[in-house]
Amino acid sequence: MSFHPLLLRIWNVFSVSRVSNLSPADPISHFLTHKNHFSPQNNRVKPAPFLPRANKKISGRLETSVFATRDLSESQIWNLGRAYLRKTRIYGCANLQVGVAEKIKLQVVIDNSPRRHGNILGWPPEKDAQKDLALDLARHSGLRILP
Amino acid sequence: MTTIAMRFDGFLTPHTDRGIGNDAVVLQGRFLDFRREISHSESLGKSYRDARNALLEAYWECGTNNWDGYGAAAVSLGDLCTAMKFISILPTSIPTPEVSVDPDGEFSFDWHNKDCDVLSLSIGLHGRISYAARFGESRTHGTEYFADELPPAVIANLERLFC
Repeated sequence: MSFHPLLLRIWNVFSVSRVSNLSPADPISHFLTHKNHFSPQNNRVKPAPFLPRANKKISGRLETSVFATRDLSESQIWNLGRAYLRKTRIYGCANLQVGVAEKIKLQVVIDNSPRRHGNILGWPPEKDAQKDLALDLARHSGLRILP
Repeated sequence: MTTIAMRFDGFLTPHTDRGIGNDAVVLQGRFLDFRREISHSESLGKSYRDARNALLEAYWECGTNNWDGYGAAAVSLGDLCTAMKFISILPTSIPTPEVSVDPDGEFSFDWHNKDCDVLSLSIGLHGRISYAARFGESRTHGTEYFADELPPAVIANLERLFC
């Protein structure tokens, strides 16, 4: 029996379990949606994709979108990104541990909307202070390029 | 007597001319010729040309809102002009920066040296420069403004990275 690729992708997303609590060792991924946000030659993620966006729906809260990827296969991770970002091309993802963000006084809060989605919160309002923290996240991230 | 002062911060620097008279016009013309030759030079102008091309490419790709799928702001023509002006005043000895665009639409420039030290700065409208850097275990960040010349703090960080 074979499944249509689209059905398989949908099944992959819905078969992913929710997560509630994260430990510092848990992996999180931020999907990279522009080719100038990473350097494949140097195998490096730049700080820019980690900088927060203001969420207008939650009174301008500063947040960086991430997914908790504990116990997920690689194809499940990519499918989460494709389902969330829909029309936007995904080039790869930046992988890091929750503890990296917590060490610099940021919080990783999972909202499971969609499943496994969460945000890095606790950003300062000043741009230079945000860049300072984004530099730490980028330096401790691993680059994974979409095959 | 009319004179012209050649600044050390970059030969591609847009020259602010405050001189008047025929001699000033002649000197200004020679300075512009000199700048043109430098910018076309294979070695001295390469860093500038590479950065300029990267900026133009990023401008075309990030010119609409939500270009990253996360709700990023579009890059404006004003942002591009400010960033172009910034790279034109960088010293010619500085390697080409890696160019990216921030979620707020500002251009970002990153430099790394062989010791894995890094300087990342973003250029916003009105010449605001937000920067952060790592030099070994040391870290620094701050905000500066530029009009015609590189702020001393930016020069100091570039020197620390590459000198």
